[in-house]
Amino acid sequence: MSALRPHQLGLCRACHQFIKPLERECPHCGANVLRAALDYQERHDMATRAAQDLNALLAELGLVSPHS
Amino acid sequence: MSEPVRYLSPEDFDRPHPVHAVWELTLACDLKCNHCGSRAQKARPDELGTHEALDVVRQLAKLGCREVTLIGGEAYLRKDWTTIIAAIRQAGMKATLQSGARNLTRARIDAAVEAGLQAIGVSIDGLAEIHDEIRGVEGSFDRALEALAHCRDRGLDISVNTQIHSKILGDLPAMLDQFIALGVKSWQVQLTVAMGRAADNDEVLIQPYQLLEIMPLLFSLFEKGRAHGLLLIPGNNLGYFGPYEAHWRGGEDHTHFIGCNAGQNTLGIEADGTIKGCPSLPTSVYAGGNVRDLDIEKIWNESPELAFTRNRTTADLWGHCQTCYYAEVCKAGCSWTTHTLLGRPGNNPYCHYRALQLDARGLRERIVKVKQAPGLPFDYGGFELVEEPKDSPAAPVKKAGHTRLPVLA
Ligand code: SF4
Ligand code: SF4
Ligand SMILES: [Zn+2]
Repeated sequence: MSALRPHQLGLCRACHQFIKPLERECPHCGANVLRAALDYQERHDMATRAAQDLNALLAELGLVSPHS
Repeated sequence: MSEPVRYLSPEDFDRPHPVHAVWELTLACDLKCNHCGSRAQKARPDELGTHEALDVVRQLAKLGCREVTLIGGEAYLRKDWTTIIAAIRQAGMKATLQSGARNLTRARIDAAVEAGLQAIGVSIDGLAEIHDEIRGVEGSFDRALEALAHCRDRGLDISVNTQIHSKILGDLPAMLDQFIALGVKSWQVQLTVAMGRAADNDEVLIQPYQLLEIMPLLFSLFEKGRAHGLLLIPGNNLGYFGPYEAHWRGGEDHTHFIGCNAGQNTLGIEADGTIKGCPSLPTSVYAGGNVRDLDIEKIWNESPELAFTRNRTTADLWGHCQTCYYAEVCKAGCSWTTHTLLGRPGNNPYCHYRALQLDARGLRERIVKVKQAPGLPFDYGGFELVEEPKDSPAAPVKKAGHTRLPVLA
């Protein structure tokens, strides 16, 4: 990578502040960065599944198109 | 919406070239703003002629520039401004305008649209009373809103630029409501900088510790704006990181402030052909050459005054910024803001993260003017930084020539 490209930071999924890429413990909130990322992913997946289920149900009831 | 041509790709970083040029077409201005960094009023005595200006357009296109923003003074006070807009478009670049809009009449807007103008940002620094006071002309707020409405009706992308100065805080929520009603899609906010007339009238500057109050206020406006289709954009000198950075600077992509871009992908041109790495930088220190003497390409490639951010490292930082967690990425933020305040870049008290860190230790930072600016366009005076207990009594009303306070930072 070119030396001129800017550094890209990561995000602590517990406090949503930027952290250096190899950080294990968030310097801002003290969270375990990996644990927070896994928890976030789990919550994100659950929310995505819930939205899909709701969409399917509405489609079954004829309230929205299955592709909307 | 037109293409976001200003967005920078990894390749743009690999090969510094002026993606966005900001061009002061003339220093002539019909407002009398008491925070104007360039002290605009009369045209410079030796502004570029039409042929020279058209050659600048040609050179910018050759360098790979993608957007040219015309500023002033007021760009529309030049008779050939629409000729230049048309040339920018014919050369394949985006043409945009930044204006105070006091006399940006329907006829002028129509002519600019016919020439190919694609977007406009209008400067609005408060509701009517405060805006007119700051801009020095009664009725200028109403004229600015009228111009915005006509630009919207003519299909231009309309945005508002606002300076955060000491008198505006109470007006901000009502300003947002007005902009939403007007159909404004983006609102860029930036701090008033201690340059030109703002260095003379330093009571307009906010104190660094006020960021603790200002940032949550702006973020609440960001959230309200987003719910109504208006994007509040924190400007490059509204620093940095802290709890809101991931939400409002990067949006979905979680990008963040990546340091000053002057001379990397940004170029500034003064009306007499002086070239700088950013239009706002003080001329005395950052003028890299003049188009009357050298090609822009040569100035861009060879002038140290334009290259100063390309090789900047944490070794160039000082004060709090030198030891900051974000030093490698941020490199003390906006060079214009820091140089004009403290006489050199590399240490920036206008930073939310920094203000929060100090607050947690029971401290705050305050600026105190110690030197008048000489009175030239894009000049600056001198300020000292005072670090003090956060419950210190309110700062005295600032007057030039007051007692010097100790420098602690
Ligand atoms: S303290 Fe300085 S280096 Fe750190 S984030 Fe703020 S401006 Fe940037
Ligand atoms: S000096 Fe400030 S405004 Fe200019 S490019 Fe750098 S960060 Fe942006
Ligand atoms: Zn955290």
